[in-house]
Amino acid sequence: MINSFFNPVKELFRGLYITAKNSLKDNVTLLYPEKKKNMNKFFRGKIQYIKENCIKCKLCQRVCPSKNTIQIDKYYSINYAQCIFCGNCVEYCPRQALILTPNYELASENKNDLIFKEELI
Amino acid sequence: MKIIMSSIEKLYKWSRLNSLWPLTYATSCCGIEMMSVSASNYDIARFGSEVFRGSPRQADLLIVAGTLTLKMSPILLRLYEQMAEPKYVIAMGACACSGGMYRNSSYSVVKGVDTIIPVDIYLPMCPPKPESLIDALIKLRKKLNDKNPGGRFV
Amino acid sequence: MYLFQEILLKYNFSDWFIFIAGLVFYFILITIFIIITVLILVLFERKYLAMFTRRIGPNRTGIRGCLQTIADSFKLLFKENIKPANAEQFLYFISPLIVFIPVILLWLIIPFTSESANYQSQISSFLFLAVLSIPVFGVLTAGCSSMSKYSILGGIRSCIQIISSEIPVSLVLVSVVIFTGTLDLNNIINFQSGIFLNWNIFPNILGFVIFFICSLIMMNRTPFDFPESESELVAGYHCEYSGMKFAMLFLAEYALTFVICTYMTALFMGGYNSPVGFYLADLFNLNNGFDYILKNIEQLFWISIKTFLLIMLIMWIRASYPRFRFDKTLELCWYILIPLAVFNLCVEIFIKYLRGIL
Repeated sequence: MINSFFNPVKELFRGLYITAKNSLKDNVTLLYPEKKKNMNKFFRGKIQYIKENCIKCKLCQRVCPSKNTIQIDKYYSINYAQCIFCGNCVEYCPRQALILTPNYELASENKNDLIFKEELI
Repeated sequence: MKIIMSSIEKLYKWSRLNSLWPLTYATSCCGIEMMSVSASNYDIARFGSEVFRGSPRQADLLIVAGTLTLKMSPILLRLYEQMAEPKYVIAMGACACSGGMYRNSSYSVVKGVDTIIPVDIYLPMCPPKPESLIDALIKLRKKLNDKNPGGRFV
Repeated sequence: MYLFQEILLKYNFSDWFIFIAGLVFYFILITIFIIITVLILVLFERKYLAMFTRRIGPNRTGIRGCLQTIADSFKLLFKENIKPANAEQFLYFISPLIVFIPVILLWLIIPFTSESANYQSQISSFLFLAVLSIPVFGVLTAGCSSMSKYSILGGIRSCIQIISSEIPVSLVLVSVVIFTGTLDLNNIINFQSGIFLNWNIFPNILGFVIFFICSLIMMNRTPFDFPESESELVAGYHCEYSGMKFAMLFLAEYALTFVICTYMTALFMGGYNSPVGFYLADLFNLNNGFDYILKNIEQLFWISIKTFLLIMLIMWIRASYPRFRFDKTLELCWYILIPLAVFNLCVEIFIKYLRGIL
């Protein structure tokens, strides 16, 4: 009877104690725009295209899980608005014409800015 | 008179870009990253927008986080129309930007929320990092500071 | 207020004009004071909650985020005012005022200093409770007039919880009144003058705890924030309110928090009395008008410090606990707090009787 009354009260004070203990610690916030985290080398950010290595095998287009993201005709174009950054194309590319960069700041006002285009010969 | 009007306009701009209150609205996995932004590691409160309002009447910023299905789209439209006038939209994630990997293969996914509502900032990646969302917020603030988005109040 | 009326008297205005002008002047003064207090309080709460979760809190607006709440208030001022099509237009418009005006009246009742020219009443402690129950009607009409299922639920919940929490509060208040032998808040505070051991909190600690829990329910603060519980009802009773009206409801809520904390300070923690037993202003021994002003300022300082400590405790509780279940809260009020309050009343009468003997 007494325990059933005092245990909840004890728990209430324990809750207050835990929050008070945490409030005295340093804050853990990453001050993002000023300081940036170092990305892991496996981080899959913006995909970069290197024109010199490309042999136009169209393998990247075939293995891409989201269709029509990579289009190769007169231009080599990657639509970042559709890309899911799985890195499959980079994995399959026989000549390392595609590499992953740790760039993740891709937000833009205009949707057309998200389409990367480079003219092929 | 002109000086008073311009200073009021300045005050208006300053106040709206410093207190963008987002709506608690998430449709799928990008919502987890949105929660992470408001938690202590990335702390969106630094920009004065940790006040996630449940009611669309009191929110300024609609973050469309995640895949939008056709069935959900009328609800999104209604939420957008319920919001009070200076209102902004961030399309978060590849699915919200363009339909993402469902664009060409799925029958039930909307091909980009900009087919339904006007979008101010597109944020691709699947899902974006919390830092990317903060980056999108900063770009939105910059946009509000530089120019008045067309067709909006003031 | 009286000072302003005396100034007007010199210019030969008629009596009723002076009376009304004095009232309006005081009303505006109190409103400005409330707005400033609430702005500081909200900013403090945001920083303080950030401290508990090991975040930084607002730091972009102004120096270290000091202008954050001002930016918020201006944004709400400029925001579009939405009228729902099927709402009761008159009630929808008037209910923020029903919430806000009684809160201003509450500020008039509280004696902030011993000489403050507030509304003086013989029964001010019970008058406070009577006026405190008016904002609930505003919340109820705000909920019902906006014709949304969430806001109706929020309004009803607010009404139910205020009924169940006001009975233990009144019982505790009766115990305080019996102990001090007066209904006037000024006299209750004067009864507790001297060092801090004379405060009512020491013979009446159980009453203070009951009062504190019930005040959390009356203020809609976090363990009991049912009228606007965000995860159940979208935003509760102010679901359909936007812009200025929402700002008004928000303002009223925080002003209510502050004023109930001041009331608790007056009842239990000696009000404007200093905890050391004498006023620091008396040490200077200035025998002119300046002494009197200094003493009033010191009393204001003590009462605000005590209120601030209580508010910090309330925010600490907000950072620590999840929300109660609604039916459990009603059970807590009716089955536990009311019998405890009656028991407390008996104990107080017994202590009073013992004091009479010794």
